[in-house]
Amino acid sequence: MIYEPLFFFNIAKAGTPQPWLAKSYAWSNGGKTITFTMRTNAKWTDGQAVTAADVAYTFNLLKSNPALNSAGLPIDSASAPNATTAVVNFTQSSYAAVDYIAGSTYILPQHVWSKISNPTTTLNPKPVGSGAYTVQSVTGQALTLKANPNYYMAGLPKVKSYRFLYFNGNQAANLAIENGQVDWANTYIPNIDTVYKKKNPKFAVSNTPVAITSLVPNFQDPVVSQLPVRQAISYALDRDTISKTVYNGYANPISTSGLISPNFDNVADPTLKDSKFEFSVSKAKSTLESAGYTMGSDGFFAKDGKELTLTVQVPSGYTDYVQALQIMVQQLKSAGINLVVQGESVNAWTSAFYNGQFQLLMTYQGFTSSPYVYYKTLIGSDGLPPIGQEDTAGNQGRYTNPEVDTLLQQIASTPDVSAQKPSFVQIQQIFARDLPVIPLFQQQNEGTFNGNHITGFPTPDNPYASSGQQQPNVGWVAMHLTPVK
Amino acid sequence: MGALTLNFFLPRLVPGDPVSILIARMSQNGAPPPGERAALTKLLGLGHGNLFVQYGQYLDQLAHGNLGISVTNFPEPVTQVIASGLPWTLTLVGVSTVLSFVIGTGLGALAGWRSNRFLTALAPATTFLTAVPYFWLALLFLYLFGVIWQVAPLNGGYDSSLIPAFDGPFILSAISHSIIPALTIVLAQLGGWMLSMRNMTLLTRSEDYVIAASAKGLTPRRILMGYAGRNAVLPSVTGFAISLGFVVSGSLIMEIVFSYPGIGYLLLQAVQNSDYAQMQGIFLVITLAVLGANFLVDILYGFVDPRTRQSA
Amino acid sequence: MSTIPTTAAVGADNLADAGGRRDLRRTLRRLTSSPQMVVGVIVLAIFVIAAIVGPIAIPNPDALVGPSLAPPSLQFPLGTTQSGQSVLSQVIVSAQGTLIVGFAAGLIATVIGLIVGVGGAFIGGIADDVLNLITNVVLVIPALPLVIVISANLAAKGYTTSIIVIAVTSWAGGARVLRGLTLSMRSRDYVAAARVSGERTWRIVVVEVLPNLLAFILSSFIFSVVFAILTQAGLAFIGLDSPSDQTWGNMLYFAQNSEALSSGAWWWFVPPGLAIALVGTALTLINLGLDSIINPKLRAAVRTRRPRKDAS
Repeated sequence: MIYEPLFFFNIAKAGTPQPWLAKSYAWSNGGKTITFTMRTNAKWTDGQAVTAADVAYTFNLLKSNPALNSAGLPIDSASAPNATTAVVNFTQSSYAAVDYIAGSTYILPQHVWSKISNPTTTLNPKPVGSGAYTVQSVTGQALTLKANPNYYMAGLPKVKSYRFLYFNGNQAANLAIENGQVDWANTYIPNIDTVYKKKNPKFAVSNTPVAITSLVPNFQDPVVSQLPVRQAISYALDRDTISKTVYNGYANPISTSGLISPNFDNVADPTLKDSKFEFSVSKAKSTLESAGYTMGSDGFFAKDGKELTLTVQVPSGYTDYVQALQIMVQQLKSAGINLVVQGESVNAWTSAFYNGQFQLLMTYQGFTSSPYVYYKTLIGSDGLPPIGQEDTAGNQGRYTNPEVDTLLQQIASTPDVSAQKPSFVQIQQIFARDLPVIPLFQQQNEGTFNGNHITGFPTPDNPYASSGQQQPNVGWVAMHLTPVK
Repeated sequence: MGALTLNFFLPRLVPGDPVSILIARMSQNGAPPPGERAALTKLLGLGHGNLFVQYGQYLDQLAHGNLGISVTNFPEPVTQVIASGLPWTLTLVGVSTVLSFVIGTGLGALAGWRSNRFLTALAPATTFLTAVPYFWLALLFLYLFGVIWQVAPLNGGYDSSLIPAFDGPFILSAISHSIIPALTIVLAQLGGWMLSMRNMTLLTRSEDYVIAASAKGLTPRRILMGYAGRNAVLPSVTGFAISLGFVVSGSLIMEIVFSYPGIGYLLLQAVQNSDYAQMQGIFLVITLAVLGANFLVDILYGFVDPRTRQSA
Repeated sequence: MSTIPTTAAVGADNLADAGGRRDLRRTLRRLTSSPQMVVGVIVLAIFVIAAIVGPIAIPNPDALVGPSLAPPSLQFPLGTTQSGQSVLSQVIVSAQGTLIVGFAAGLIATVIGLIVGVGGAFIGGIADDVLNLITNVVLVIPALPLVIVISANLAAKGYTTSIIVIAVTSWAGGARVLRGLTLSMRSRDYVAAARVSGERTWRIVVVEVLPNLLAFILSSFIFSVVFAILTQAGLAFIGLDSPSDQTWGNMLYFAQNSEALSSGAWWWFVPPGLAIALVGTALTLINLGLDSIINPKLRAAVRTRRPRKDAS
């Protein structure tokens, strides 16, 4: 909210990025060069103009300080031929990284930062930014921001000040939210309809899904790597009941293509867009039977004398997941599958996840405005570290399909969505056929807004941004909210 | 020295490292970009040298009063982080510990000294309070006072719209935010003090000198205040000094329930983030507090009861 | 937590009374004459029966048997959880897990305390110094934060982790008390006599010392159990326990995280906490009963109460 990127990429609805500090961008040189055209009226909070030189300075700073280059952008050089034109060159084609380049690189003021000797560790108590808000006060419990009176976007921001509160945990935060003390929050609230929405007619819950919740099978495992087992699990799950019981129905159904909707509707396969996962205990059983499994006397299937027992790992702290899994245990039991839930600390779980030491694992993936990044991290196997090494790049289940990788490469070779779409359609069909992960639903992403005080927030009907508070989304939403008089 | 060494190695004995935790946290908002891990490792200055080199650096820094940089509140120094949490914990838990000791010991002495139906009935009640899970009681109170009756603030150490300062509104706000947490601590600790004091008083009553005093016609009140009470309270004083040492650490769950900005919460934060520096710093403060309290016990004992100066 | 040293402190002065060879029948009569003991044993017995019979009678307490968050009714005497499970079934079945963790951790902690405390005191010399140092270090480190650090990083699988973590961090208090008692006993005439007559150390410990320490060991054990149950509940509450374990602590964790209280579902939150409190109270009452057996003066004083009141 203090510093800003060049464009706003909407993770709730992919499409044309909105101009932020820059007006437009253009690719050239086969994706190795991007040229930004800057606004002319943007100013830093100390009164100096935001120029293309600041953009060039920022990208050069990333290049010379790998510690700041968190996206690992292959920056070759950056320059500012004039005050409104910034040119960034890359060592390789970077069409697919445009979200990172333009959407999450925060432009810094050269005249301030060039005087800081160690930019990685210096505390900056009075930051000079370009954003709609400036820091008013910081205490142990709250960060207060006030509106920047000279902001360059006409009529924005409308809310005069924001106070961000720190809480020791979800419970404490939720109590405050439920009592109307917080005007905008983005936490998981159980029974949200009862404990929040019904309390006041103006309390609003805005659910804009930005991720998928799924069971990730490990393809190194001899059991869950078999398609019939994954299919049987999928058939045995009554996803609607889980969503209703645990999430008050806010976890929307997901199509069999695994694509989040409406976020990525622009590349959706029309034949799969409205498809739903089928719930059928009898089909679960028949799938297993035709795969050679036989029902044992204890009510569980077995093959070659081995009972169909699956272990799923989950962080104990993710109580909604644990509850959902407890219900899945009962549902899978009726289909003859013995699911064992293993709760662990987040640290242990993270380590198991990244190192591929699991059979099944419940997690969520998404939070991107790019369907390419979405599928790449979900099922792409190109460029992953070898098996046995820690994998933070995605596809931790290690689904390997050269066809998918080729399609992803084709998508990355062009910035043109209409040229990408046929490849996206093929990937979706492979996904629906292969079940590389077992999708459960679209992860609920409830923003709670106290309509007595604010309006103009993103809604499922008007998803101009996510209702969540992740950067830089929070800054974009904050300046578009309107106070209620 | 042993404690210092332990403070260093203990957090490191556990698997998991801060970089993985940070990456995991970022991945909650989308897959972290490919270069993130290397970038963070450099940023946090981790991974230089083996454990023993790090240990040497730790001791060296410690000697200079430097506890390192917090990962959780990067890049704030740990000393500063602790300094911001310590006053809250010390004030609230300190005051509640003193209150529960004074009230509990007083009630215990009375219960042991005279037969009173009210006090006799109180004993099982306090036993029950001692056995109740603290957080359960605290949450019930929070719900009743904060949500149903709305007479107490829900969370925090002060109203978030205020900026900490020594002025009227801030202090008033801090006090009103501390009443329910303090009440729960007092209630939870009361029973222990009361029982121990009651037992000691009963035992002291049958001592020869008390019987002699009462035979000489001294009033029970005078005997209790002048002679018996002083002896009976001795073990409680020891317990009190020890519990003062645990004031810093004993309030962890209270701080979580009430979202109170103290040391306990900082520790939980550090654990969740594998923040070695912050963990070490807090363990150091806790250790110092307990050692200080033990020292206090020795001095107090010397004063109150010279007989006990023998080595145990 | 601060109540642990109390009994021992009371007992130390009165070792001689408990030390004599006791008449078993008289002890039994004393036991049943203590109303605290009787009530404690009855309440505890009810829960032990639930712990044994419960899991057999209710094989699947997680079964989805009813609507979400149904209030108490004839069909579901304690209502249902958010997932539609019977709260009563879960409370009954969870007695087993809770008591297993409590008693196992308490037992291990007591055994460690016994070995370190009694063993050290009897062997003496360097071994004693080392063991005593270890005891003091463990005492200084606050238990709950330590438990948190350890469990945050262990893959929690079943009860074993909780049991070990709790036991390893909670034995020191008992060890210190038992060491003190053993030291004072070592100088007793009958022990000295046994030594002079050339009996082996282990024999002296087993035949002469342990029987006389039995009441204290039992009392220390009971405190450890209460402590372990409360610690487990606390751990579960912070979310550091395996969520698939059936314990009251985990029930509370789920109830709390589903905002049972805010949703008006008190029937989900209150019963598990009450169950913990009742078991804790029962155990504490048993300990109070034991106290009055170890210290006849506690009872004598009660009996002489009436004449004294007349005098005043």
